[in-house]
Amino acid sequence: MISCFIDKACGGSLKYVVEHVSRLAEGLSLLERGEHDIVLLDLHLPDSRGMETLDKVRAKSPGIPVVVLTNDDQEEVGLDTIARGAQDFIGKGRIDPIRLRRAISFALERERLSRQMESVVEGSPDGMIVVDPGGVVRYANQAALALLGRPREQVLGSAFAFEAAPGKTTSHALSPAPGRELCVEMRVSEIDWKGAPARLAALRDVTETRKVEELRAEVRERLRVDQLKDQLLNTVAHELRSPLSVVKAIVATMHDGLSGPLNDDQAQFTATAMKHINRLTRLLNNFLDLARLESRSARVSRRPVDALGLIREVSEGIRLANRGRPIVFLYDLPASAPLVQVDADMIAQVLGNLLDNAMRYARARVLVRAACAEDAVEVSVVDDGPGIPPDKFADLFNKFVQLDRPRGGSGYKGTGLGLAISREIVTLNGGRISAENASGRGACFRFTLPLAAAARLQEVAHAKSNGGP
Amino acid sequence: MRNRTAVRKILVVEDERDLADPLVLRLNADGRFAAEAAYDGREGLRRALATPPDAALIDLDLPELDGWSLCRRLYENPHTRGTRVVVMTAWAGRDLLRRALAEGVAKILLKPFEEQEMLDALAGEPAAAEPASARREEP
Repeated sequence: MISCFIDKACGGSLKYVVEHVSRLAEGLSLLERGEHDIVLLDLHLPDSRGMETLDKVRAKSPGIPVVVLTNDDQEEVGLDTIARGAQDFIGKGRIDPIRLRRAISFALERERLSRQMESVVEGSPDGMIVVDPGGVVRYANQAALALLGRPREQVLGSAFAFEAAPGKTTSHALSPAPGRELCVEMRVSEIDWKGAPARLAALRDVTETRKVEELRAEVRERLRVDQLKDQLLNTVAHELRSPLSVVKAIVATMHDGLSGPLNDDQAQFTATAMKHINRLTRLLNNFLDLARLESRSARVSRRPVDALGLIREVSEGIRLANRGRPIVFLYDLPASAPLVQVDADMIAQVLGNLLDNAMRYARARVLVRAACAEDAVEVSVVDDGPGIPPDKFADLFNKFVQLDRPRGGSGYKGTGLGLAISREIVTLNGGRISAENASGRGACFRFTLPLAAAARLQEVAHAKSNGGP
Repeated sequence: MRNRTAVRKILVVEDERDLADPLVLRLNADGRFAAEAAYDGREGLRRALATPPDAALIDLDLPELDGWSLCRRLYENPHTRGTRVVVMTAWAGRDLLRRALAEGVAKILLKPFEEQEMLDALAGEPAAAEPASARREEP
């Protein structure tokens, strides 16, 4: 009779393929194929009776909607089947094609909607956990299981670890796997779960956000410390410079005979004092420069700079300052060079340091050379002095390293900081610095100045136009 | 045109007398300058307005009236606008240099400085812009 109704019921727009079995065992084996959209189930079958029949079908295929055909019109039996997961029920005595068709359509649609809702919750990136008033977990979505690091069967029915107070946001540490620490933010709301009050705990993984926040705090703290250091340096510099300037002004006044004529000894002593005051000044300036460079509080303002112009200007300055010495200044510079991206004042200091060194060690000649490489201009300063002893190469650019001073020098003593400063500056400007012994005799110091972006592009365009057909 | 052979009036404003006095001594010994010292900013301003100097050597850290304010007051007053202003300081820094240029300072001397540097700076032309050629003729 049912088949007959179904045939009639299916006469409309919906197309059905119906398979009919009269025993539960047969039905369950058919369900195994997973081809069915809906089950119309009589609770009383030869091999199964009552609610057990529904439970077995639900256990076999939890995703398939079931419409129960009850033996009678008893409401409570029908409602009981709904509570156990059936989508609908129809009393056999009241069955007719229209009702049946409607029941099938509704059951399919209800199942679809309930799956859709479930997939929303299940697929939420935040963990969702339903806790009953006794504190037992009744539901947990995939994200929640991932955060807890436990399978669903362990979580469901177990006690919830955190106090779930509605309206509050709380933070918790979770370790879903050994060595993996998560920071989770929990918000709780009150909901109705299967007809009873319950609490919904939403868990959000804020580990990364917290890390970013911590990192930000760290950066702020470092900036603060750097500022303090900078302030301290400036204060120390100021405190040292002020008395030094007084000493220098007074000794210079005496030395120059402005406060009365000096005898030979006095002239000699004041000259020596001046030499050491000047050395102390250089040392102070270098030391502060290096401290600023090392603490990275030195402001580097890199702009496109004409490297050759800078080299000529600095070299000429040094050459003129050493006019009295029998040293020949040689230049080996290209006719033109692309712009370099550097802090001109800083690079002038480096070149000045290297030229000063070269002047101190040179016998007869100092050579300044520049050459264009692919992405940089390379500058070399070569002298014809004794060269660098092999055992000094390793820590040549470290602080307070001084080579044996050339015999018969002018009495100018370095601070041992020039090369350390030079290395810091060149590195800050994106270049490299190195030293070697020149072929023949003498030392050669080399550093690179990276090309400005515009110059690099021009080079590329130039290479392309040259390489083109 | 200023008479280049005339002795230039210099006002040194420096609260550290131990520095101000030898500097004044040096300037007066040079022959090109007639220098006097003021030991705080307010006194410096009073003297400058009473007898406008050709050039002023001003420390930036001054009691009563700080160096920057003094520079500005000199520049704002028509009597002292032409005074060449050279500042000296024990505070190093690029910001300082930028500010000095913005304030119309002719030269900034970082303590301790070379005496020759100070003499050259004060011997320069006054603040009122003159042709570059005139500047090059300076002794």
